[in-house]
Amino acid sequence: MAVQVKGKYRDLWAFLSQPLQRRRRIRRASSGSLPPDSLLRLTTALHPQRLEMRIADMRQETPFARTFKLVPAAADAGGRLQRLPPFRAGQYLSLEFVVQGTRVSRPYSICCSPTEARQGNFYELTVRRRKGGFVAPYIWEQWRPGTRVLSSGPLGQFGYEPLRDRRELVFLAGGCGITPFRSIWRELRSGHPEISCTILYGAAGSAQFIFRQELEALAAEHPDRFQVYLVAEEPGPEWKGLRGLLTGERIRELTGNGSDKTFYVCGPPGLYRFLQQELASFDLSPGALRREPCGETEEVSAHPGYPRELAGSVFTVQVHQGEDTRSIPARASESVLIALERAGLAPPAQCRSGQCGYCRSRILDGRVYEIPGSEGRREADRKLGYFHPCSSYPLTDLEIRVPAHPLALEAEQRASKNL
Amino acid sequence: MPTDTRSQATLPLSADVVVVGAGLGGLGAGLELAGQGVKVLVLEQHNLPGGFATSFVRGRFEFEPSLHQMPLPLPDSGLVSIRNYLLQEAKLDLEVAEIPEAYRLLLTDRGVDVQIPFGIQAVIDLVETQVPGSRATVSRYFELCREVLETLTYLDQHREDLNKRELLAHHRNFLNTGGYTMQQVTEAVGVPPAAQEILYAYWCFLGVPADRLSFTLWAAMLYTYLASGAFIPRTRSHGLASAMVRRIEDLGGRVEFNQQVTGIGVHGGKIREIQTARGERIRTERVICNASPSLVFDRLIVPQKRVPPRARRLLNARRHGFSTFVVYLGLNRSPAELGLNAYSYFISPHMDTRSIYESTGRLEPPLMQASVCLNSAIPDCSPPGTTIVSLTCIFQPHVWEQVRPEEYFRVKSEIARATIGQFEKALGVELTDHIEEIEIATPVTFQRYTGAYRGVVYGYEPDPWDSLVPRALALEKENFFEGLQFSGGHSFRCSGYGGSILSGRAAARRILEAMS
Repeated sequence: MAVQVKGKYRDLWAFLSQPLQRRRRIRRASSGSLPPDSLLRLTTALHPQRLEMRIADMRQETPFARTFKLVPAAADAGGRLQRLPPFRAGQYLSLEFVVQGTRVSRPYSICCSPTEARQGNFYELTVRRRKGGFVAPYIWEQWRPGTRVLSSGPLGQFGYEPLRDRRELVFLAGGCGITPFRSIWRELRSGHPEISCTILYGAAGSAQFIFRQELEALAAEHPDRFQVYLVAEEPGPEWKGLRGLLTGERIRELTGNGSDKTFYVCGPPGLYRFLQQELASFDLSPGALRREPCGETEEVSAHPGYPRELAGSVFTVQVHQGEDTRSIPARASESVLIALERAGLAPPAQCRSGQCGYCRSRILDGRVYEIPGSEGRREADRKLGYFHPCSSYPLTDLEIRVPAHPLALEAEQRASKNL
Repeated sequence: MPTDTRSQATLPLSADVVVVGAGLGGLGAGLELAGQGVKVLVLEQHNLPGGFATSFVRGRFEFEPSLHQMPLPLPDSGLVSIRNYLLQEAKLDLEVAEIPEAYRLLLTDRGVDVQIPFGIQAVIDLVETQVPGSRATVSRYFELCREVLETLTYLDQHREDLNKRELLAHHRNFLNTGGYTMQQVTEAVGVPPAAQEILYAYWCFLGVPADRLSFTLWAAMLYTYLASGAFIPRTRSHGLASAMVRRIEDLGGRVEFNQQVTGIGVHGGKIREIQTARGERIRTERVICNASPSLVFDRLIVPQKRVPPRARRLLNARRHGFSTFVVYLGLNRSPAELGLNAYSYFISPHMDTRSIYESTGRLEPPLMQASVCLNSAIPDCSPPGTTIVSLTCIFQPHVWEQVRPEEYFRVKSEIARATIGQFEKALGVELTDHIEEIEIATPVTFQRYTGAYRGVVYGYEPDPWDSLVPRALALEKENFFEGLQFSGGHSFRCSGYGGSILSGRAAARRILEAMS
């Protein structure tokens, strides 16, 4: 059956004249540039590919921990400092370093609140001095007021989410893992009167508690909303507070029933696994126990199911990156990402704990051990042979294809010099 | 001119063809070229393939970022089936799942709550129960849509030997309706308003109100989906995109991630080279851009003064389509416990597409949402006892540009809360108490990961003058540089998964023709 819309000839003309209409519209349009992409301004303000900052100030928190205040290094055309991106309390920065000619990254939680960061246009990071380590000693020795720092924008999903979490929160922090919580409690203190928090903070000895005075003041000023318990593992005789570990029994004693609360864990390698066991009897739903792994690089052989006899081995990894193919050594005890970093072939990495997938690479041959609980890998990637080098340890010789870093190292070094 | 800093080169010095962007269109192009033995290099600025067709993991859930259904093969049709193309022709390592029904439509002010099945006859029957007496016109309407699709297939198959006499004699309804909007034709056929509002739900997949949307495009989409049903990749769109990458690599092509193209060098009206953020330069005479013409002509072509005024006029004449806002929920209850049994939910107070479209131009919860319960198509897409629900709204590109950085988190949280509330109220279900994971994506999020110009997801708006047929007819005339082709949602097939992939294949074929 024939369909007519406005009449036989008009219909045909409506169709046939479309190219004419198109040409007419094009002819009448401006030949100037498109209007500027204003969304890009917002997107870049929120998620810059990189931030260039300098250290404005530092203060000693404990003999082993320092807080650094970072401000933007670059000024805009009008001579004003750039604005640092807003963030959500609990997020981290992935800092980029060139240490001994090797490009590495490390995630550090921002420890000031979003509100004070916005008002003062700064971030704060607290770094603990550790024996060994690659980057922490470097920071400790090199970072002084005036030092230039390169980083990502704020990243990560750790923190209080009103649409998801309960109104009663339990923070379980170990050692330096207190840092994201500081950002969160400082934000909650001023902005969220409906929220109450129990903070359980474990450290080795009394001198190791970072932000101790601030925590004690927080509890004293808001006794109805903030309970603070410092638990020292092996304190000296002068310690009057709680002793021992953050055991399930102790947590239950201090927080009561867990089913109406959201628990957050951040601390040294192994703490989360320990607490998972300790909290087993709380019967928490999976979303009620939240974790910031902080680029956790636990001793791999400590994980159940890891073939310990391999721990001392060194494997050969054939790495394809762009046009290049190189063979590099990889210790069984170190993640594939670290082997790549040592060889100067690392893809960019952010979370360093298997979650974000930024270092995603393809495995062509060989097998790796994936840290249990680093569930960030996508289902299709498991099937098609993609893996996250930051949470994978070689079990055999490997052949892998690794994406390049978005910026060449020389460009990066030039950029740091020009800062 | 920037110099090539090749001490740490990662890319080859030259390539037969470079594809800019590993979105579905770019991958479709890469697949076709690699399959023909061409040395193709696909460059992607992100660390993942697929563009909007990706996935992300939060806790126990892997979320699907986009509305990603594709039509199943249409029986007795010469139309290219995207499923058969992917699985049989391109031989992807891909599992797919079928969607159980077309959609459940809830028009809350109008008291409409219907579940639309797949199958034209079933739809006609259902509309008749809702709007008694509509059978004759609705049947005629679908018959017209079928004819439109038939002609499109004819045009596709006879691009080289088009017979105008044949077209005039046997494809008259296509011609008679091809110059009009969806609203004009639907009214001319006499579909009663109450039936229109039931049949119009898919308009939001194209994002242009009924009084501006090209009828040809609408008819083709409506009929293909309703007649044949739809499928999705089993392991989210990331499974589709990654399978395409693997296949391209197996065929000898290359896909490189973290490689942002910063310039497309031209000389004498021809493509000469590609420049990247790493400072590398690749000699090539042929480029397929999955990046939009807006980005390419307004930013990437170097030198910019070589961009002809006509190309700029074209960009300024077109209207950039919408971007999306999505709330992703991982819920700790099963779909049955939540009371969710359909896959797609279209929720709106009414189906006045003009006023809904206008609401997408304001920074407030839009009137309409298109939401998906993924478990209804893939029961095991999340652990037992859990459900993945995503709620999608559309926004015109200018809306989020007004947000100040310091307000951003608050605004997105407020709109998300309202969107969840709209879903809960319309269906009488409770989601908020069962949220285990939540993520919210805004136009900013989509631009952050894809680099899309103004966060646009669906390319240019398909008004009749800028729809399928006029775009296809203008392909040669609007080809401003020798060796440059476009794929993806901005190109001639308009937006959508299947269209993007096939547009890449078509762009590759045009390149292959020029090479031979």
